[in-house]
Amino acid sequence: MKAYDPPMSDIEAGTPIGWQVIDPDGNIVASGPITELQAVADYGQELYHVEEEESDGGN
Amino acid sequence: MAAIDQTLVSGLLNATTPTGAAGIPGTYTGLGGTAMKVRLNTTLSTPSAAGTELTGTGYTAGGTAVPAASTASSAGSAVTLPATSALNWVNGSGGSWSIVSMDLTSSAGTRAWFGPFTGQPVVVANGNTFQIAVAGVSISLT
Repeated sequence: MKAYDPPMSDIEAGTPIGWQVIDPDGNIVASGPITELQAVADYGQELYHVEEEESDGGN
Repeated sequence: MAAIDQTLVSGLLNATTPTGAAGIPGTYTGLGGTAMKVRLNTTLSTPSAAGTELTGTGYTAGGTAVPAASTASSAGSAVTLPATSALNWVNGSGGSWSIVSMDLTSSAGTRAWFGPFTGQPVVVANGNTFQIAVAGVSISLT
C-alpha cells in the first residue's frame, strides 16, 4: 500500500484538517477538524457569580 | 466535553501547592521519560477512565508513540501534535472500525489528556487508513 501524502490544497483550504479516513487508493473518504483536548477552569468564575448574587441580594 | 484526566489534575495541583514536606511544593513524576502515546478508543473517555480501546490488526494495544517533539507552549499557547508527520493506522481487522475518542498517555499508559474526535464515531472500513494530521490535536488550558 502506498503512503498517503495529502496535497497542500487539502490542508490550506477551509477548516484545518484534524483527522481523515483514506482509502487504499489515497482518496479521502471522510475528514474532521482539529481535535481539542482542553481543560475548562470555570470554578473560579462560578464562585465569582455566587459572590456577586449574594452582594446584590444585600443591597 | 474534552478534558483532563483526574490523576493529572491531582498531579498538577500537588506540584503547585504546598503539599510536600514542610510546606514545599509537591512532586509529580507520573508520565515517565519516554515517548508519549496516542490511544484510540471505540467509546468516549471520561475524566476517570479511558474509553474502550480499539482492537484488531492495524492497531497496537496501548497506542502509538508520538514520533517527534511538539513545540513547547509559550505564554499560554496550545501544544499541538503530532509535530512533523501524521499518525496512521491501517485497518486490517477484516471489519469496520468505529473510532470515538483518544487519550494521550505516557509510554506506560498513564493518562494525561483525552477527548472525542469531532464528528465521532469515525467509521474506518477494512483496508482504509485512519490518520491524525500534523497538528491535528490541540491541547490547551483556559
